[in-house]
Amino acid sequence: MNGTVSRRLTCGTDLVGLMAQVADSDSGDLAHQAGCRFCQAALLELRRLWMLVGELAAERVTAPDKIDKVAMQRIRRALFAAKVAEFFSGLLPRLGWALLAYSGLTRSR
Amino acid sequence: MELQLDDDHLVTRAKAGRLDAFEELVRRHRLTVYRIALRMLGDEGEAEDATQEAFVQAWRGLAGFRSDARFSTWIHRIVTNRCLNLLRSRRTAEPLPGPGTEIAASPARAPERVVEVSWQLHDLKLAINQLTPEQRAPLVLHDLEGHRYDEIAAMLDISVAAVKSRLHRARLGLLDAMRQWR
Repeated sequence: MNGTVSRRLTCGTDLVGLMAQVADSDSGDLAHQAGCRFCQAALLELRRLWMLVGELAAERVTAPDKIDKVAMQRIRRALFAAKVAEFFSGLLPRLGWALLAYSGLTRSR
Repeated sequence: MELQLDDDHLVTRAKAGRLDAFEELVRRHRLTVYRIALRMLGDEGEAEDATQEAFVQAWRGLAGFRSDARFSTWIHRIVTNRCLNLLRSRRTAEPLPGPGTEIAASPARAPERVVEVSWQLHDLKLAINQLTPEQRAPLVLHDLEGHRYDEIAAMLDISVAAVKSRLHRARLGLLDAMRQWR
């Protein structure tokens, strides 16, 4: 975007204010706008743009079905990996002590 | 018939480890999350990946989710930030990609009104893709998804004034693009 849009119209009106009037229903200087061809032209242009934005917002989008499946698969896999890790982290020290006990090292302490 | 639980109850159950509750949240929110990703990234494949990643990240961060917030706002925040990171990394790497298959499949120019609007929408999507990520996010979240300024400010970790300022610049950017279509 090269940003060539001037924020001020020839009549001095701020384009951002006019945009907010169209997009956000902000109040505007209606008395001035009624007699100003610059404001009227800008409002026409902004309303056309805003209509298109509304069309895009209302456009039907379909999300692929596999999104939930893949996301849930990844979560299940991560949960499984965490459980396996937990199991082994609990098992290994016990296994270690068992090996030490078996080799007689613990008795010598 | 099973009672439909609201998001808060599902979140509570999911926090307690109930995967089925989280799965229901995914089902409920996948369309809006995907739509945000699609509008932010302009590419269906990337939007799909970003949506999946957002839900996985949400599951991982569920314990830290504050119950006074809405789940929808939270998951929208996650996907938006994921898209922003992707766009920022893409910005330095290569020129912006095309609009994706959805856009590329637009009809040929013809005088009919429907086709004209369809082409204008196509151009609008292109123009959104040309906005900076910082401008695009408020535009997608406010003008397309209907989030409030304060919600967007919380999602993007910026002030409400900054949200408004970025949104104004985004809208002017679109106006600029629209003038060049003629």
